[in-house]
Amino acid sequence: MIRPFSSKVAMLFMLVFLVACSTVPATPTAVPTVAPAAQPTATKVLTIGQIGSSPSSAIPKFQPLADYLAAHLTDYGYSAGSVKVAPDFDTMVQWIKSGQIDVLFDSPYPAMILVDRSGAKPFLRRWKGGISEYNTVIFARTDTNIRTTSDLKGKLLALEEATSTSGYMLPKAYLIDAGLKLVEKASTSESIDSEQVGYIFTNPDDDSNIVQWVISGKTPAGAVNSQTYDKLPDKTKKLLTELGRTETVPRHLVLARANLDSAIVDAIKALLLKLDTTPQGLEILKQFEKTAKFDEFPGGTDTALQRMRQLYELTQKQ
Amino acid sequence: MTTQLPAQPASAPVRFPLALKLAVAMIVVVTLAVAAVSAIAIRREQASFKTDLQQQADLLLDSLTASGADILYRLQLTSLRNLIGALNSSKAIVDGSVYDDTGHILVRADALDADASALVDPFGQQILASSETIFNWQTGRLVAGKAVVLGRQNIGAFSIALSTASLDVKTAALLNEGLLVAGVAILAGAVLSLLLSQSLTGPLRTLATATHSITDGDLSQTIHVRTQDEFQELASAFNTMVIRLRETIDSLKRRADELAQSETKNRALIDALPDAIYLVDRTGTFRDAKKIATAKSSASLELGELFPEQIIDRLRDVIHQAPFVAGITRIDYETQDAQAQTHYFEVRVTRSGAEETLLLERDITDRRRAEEELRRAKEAAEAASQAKSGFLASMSHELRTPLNAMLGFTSILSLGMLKGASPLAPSQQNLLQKVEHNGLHLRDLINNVLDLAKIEAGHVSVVITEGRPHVFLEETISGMRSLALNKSISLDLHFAPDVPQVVLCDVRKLQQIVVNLVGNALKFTSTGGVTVEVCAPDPEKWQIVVRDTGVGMPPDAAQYIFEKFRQVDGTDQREYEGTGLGLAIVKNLVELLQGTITVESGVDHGSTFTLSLDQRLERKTAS
Repeated sequence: MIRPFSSKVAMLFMLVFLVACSTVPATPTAVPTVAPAAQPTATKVLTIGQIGSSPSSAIPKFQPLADYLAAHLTDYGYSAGSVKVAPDFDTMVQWIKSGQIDVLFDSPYPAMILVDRSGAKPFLRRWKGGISEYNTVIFARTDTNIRTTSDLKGKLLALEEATSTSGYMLPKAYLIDAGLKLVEKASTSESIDSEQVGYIFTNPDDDSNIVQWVISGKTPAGAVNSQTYDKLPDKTKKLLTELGRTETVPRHLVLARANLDSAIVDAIKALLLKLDTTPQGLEILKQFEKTAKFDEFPGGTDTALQRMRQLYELTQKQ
Repeated sequence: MTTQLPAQPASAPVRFPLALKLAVAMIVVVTLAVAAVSAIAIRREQASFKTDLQQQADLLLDSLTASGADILYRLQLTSLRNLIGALNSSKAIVDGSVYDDTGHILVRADALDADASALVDPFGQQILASSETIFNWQTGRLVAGKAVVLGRQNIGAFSIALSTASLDVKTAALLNEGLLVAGVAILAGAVLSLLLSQSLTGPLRTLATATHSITDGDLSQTIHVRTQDEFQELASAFNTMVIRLRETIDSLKRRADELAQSETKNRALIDALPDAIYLVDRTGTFRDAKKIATAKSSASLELGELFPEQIIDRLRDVIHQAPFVAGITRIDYETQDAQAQTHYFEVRVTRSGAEETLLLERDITDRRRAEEELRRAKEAAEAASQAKSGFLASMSHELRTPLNAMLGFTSILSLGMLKGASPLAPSQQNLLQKVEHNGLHLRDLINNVLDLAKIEAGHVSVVITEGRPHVFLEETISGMRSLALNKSISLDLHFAPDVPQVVLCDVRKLQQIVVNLVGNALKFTSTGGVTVEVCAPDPEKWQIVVRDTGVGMPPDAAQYIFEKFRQVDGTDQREYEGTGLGLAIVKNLVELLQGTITVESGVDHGSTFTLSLDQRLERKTAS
């Protein structure tokens, strides 16, 4: 889940070496200016939570929404918005329970885990990336002669990470439902039983790694969310064979900690629902990972989580 | 003529040649300029190096922030130590630190294994308080720090220290290069300035040599300079000046000769003049004199002794003012000789130069005596003329009174108005008419003589007033139409369109002139008629032209017909009677009116009298 730190150090070392050896004056770069950090006050801070390995990437995307919500919740004692990025589920569950996180967003499978472990409550659907729901495409490199999911026996499948909805839960449930037996492998060199389908996790937070692994031959097959697969260039798609698509699930869920005042939840809900109706709101949505809007779950929140729970239970049987 | 020039001091030897001065000045200027340019260049390069180093530090901090923001957020000290430890591999980076969000040092490059400091680092706090990169120049290194901000959270800061050794090496190298370039530039400047100085002073020396020769009187000097610059132009001008100087000196010599000849002539002319001539200054001191034999032959060259006391003061004043007065001032005086004979002198005083005055004294005794005799003769003649005029006026008056009585009684007798008298016989009546006719002619003669006498005696005054020609001339001519009618001839009056409606003139005298001219014309015309034309040939004059178709006269008669008692027919048996005074009176009256009268005539071709008058006469009333 955490990108190997050694690569960052190597990059920095290379940069230091280049700068030290440079005799040509470096091109002037604008010194980034930032607003001073909000000073702690007696009023409350609305905190949005996120699980991820790169706070520096996530916080700038979430901060405008946090600021917007806090600015419109002054009647409830909020004066500032904040973003906290947890490295893992345990930390996030702890923060939710301790009240350090008020609102968070995630796909159905991690949302289900957080609901189950922290009591958080989903209350809206988020159109992350401009779509309301998505599924997973299972594909193989064409020159491997894998044409159906049954052909995956004895082959290695590239998946994203164990907490991903589209990169793990949906394809695994889909293949188990198809009667296949899946076994996790730590490396691509491990042997795979001819009656089993091996799977290996690539770097988290990046679907393109999986496509790259398949194209480059590290694994013969992989699974990515339909949004990523459908945007692949035609030249790339010609090299791949689509083996199947999983069922569709909501793209993202909005959750609130269990003990957050229902009036505040309602107020946040109202603000999020009308966010796509104003230019300021649209700009915030655009920065917030190109979210199109927020809406109610068509079949209710329980329905969405219940299906995810069924899929989870299906995967737990193996 | 020669001019004494002041003695020139001997030229001092040249201790400081111009070439040396120019070379020294140019070397100093080049040295200063090169030093200034080098200093500025080094300063700029140093500033550029510093800026480059700051930009490198900023770039490194950006990279550190990008690489370490996430681990700083997580406070993963091991990862932070690895990150900062990587900096140690560079010689350029001599130090690096990581601060938490309160300014405490979490990791230091020079003490990677040490625990986090419990003390707040002031530089860390300074970094956290700023949104910009903080630079701190220290001896041998540049310390730069930058806060890491995620969203609205200040999660900590990174700082690095870059060695300035490379900067010092670059600066030293630059300084050495600058000194080398400056030395070469100064050397080149010195050589160039020496060459340039030589090229400047060479022509100057040539000019100086030629000038010395000219000063010694050698005007044959010419300079040859082929430098294609201002010196060649100066040499050309110098040669031209020498030629002009030579021509001027030759011209002055010729003029001096001419002046000497002229002075000789003038001296001869002065000597030939009968006058005594003195040249004095403003104080009356004599500077030159030419004395000739006069009645005052013993005079000396003192004003008081040369001239009588009665004019000395005035003469001194005139001499004193003469340099400022244009023209000639004349002073007359008279003296008596030993025989008590009076002698007259005139002294003419005139300016002669800026400070000198010329006095010309002449004996005018003979001229003065001739003038005195002439004046006495003139006064006697004028007295005689006035006596004659007075006599004539008196006599005319005395004659006219009994004549009028005779005419009156003749008329009474002729008309039979005498009570108790028997009617006159036709022969008596005829005689009476002849008496009356001759009496009238005698009265006209007396009147004309009287008028002429008054004019000549100056007893007639002119009264200039505004008059309307169309009115007073029509009135005059109307009164004479009966005379024309009696002779069955025409009498016409015509006005040209340009005749002014109002003129300034003496109306009475003008009417008298017209009556005389028209009366004459009627008298000498038996067929045809008389025409009076009035016109204005130009804006300043107007004319009255009397034209008749009468007997006319010879062209040469115009020379005397305006004289007294002169008629064209001077015989005793003349056909036309008259006093011969009419045209003389007309001429006198015309002159009084400041006009002119002319006549054109020919025998049997009639006569034309043209009277021209000024339109701009000054208004004058009777006095």
